[in-house]
Amino acid sequence: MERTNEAWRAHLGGEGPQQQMALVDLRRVLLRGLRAALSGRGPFDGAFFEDTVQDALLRILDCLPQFEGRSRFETWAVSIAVRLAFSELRRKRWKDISLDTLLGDDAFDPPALPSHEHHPVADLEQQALVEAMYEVIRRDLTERQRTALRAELREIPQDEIARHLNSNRNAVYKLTHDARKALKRGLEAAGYRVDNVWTAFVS
Amino acid sequence: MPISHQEIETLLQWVRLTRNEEIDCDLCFSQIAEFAERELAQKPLNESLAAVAQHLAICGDCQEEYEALLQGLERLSD
Repeated sequence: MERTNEAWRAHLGGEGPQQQMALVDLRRVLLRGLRAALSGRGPFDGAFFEDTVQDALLRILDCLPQFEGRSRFETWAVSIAVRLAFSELRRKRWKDISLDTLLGDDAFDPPALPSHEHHPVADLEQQALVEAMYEVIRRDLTERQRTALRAELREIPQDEIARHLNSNRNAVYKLTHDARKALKRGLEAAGYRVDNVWTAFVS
Repeated sequence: MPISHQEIETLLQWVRLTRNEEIDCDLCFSQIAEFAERELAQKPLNESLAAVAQHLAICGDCQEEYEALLQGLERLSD
């Protein structure tokens, strides 16, 4: 049964057989959507999809008043299921891994940069840039900012970084956003234009 | 463990993309469904959704979830 956004809201927000039918249909949408979204990222067993869809149904009912109709309802619902799925997958993947072990004692160690065999000047310029960057990191960033940034560079999920720092995902994002702004200010104060240095570094 | 050349490149890219005002993960997520549909329909983004695009360029976790959502929507419409 095809439903408009308004029909989804009304049926799910109601009671009785109409709500039950809407939940059955929504469950079907979520299962199809989630399987399609996670295709190629598995393997997953059926229980994972069933459990995630069940969690998503509860979350959707809770968040129903927040649906503003700026997208199709089905898209909004599947996005919730996808987010729940990834949260669970990351939690399982990282639950036995210590961030302290991964990051080691030093948040940032200077790298050994590859040399430009035919462009020694580029070597020196890159080295100067990296040293300037490290100076800003050491001087202007807090330890928590350095830890969070280092963890993000290692592609550790934000929820895991948050758990390590006794924080939450949004707070971690703000932490690293502040760190990036400080790094940008510091490099610009040292005379670097960030657009130019990135282009020069990758060329 | 030393930071790698690739990691420096990534860090510089993040710094280059950094804006004074950025939305966080929850605010990005609150608009991701609309963002995905507009991208699939190749419609232009308004200012609010441009902030979503900027967040996705930096936040690996949100980007991963968005790509999966996009994949799901594309396959569902086949």
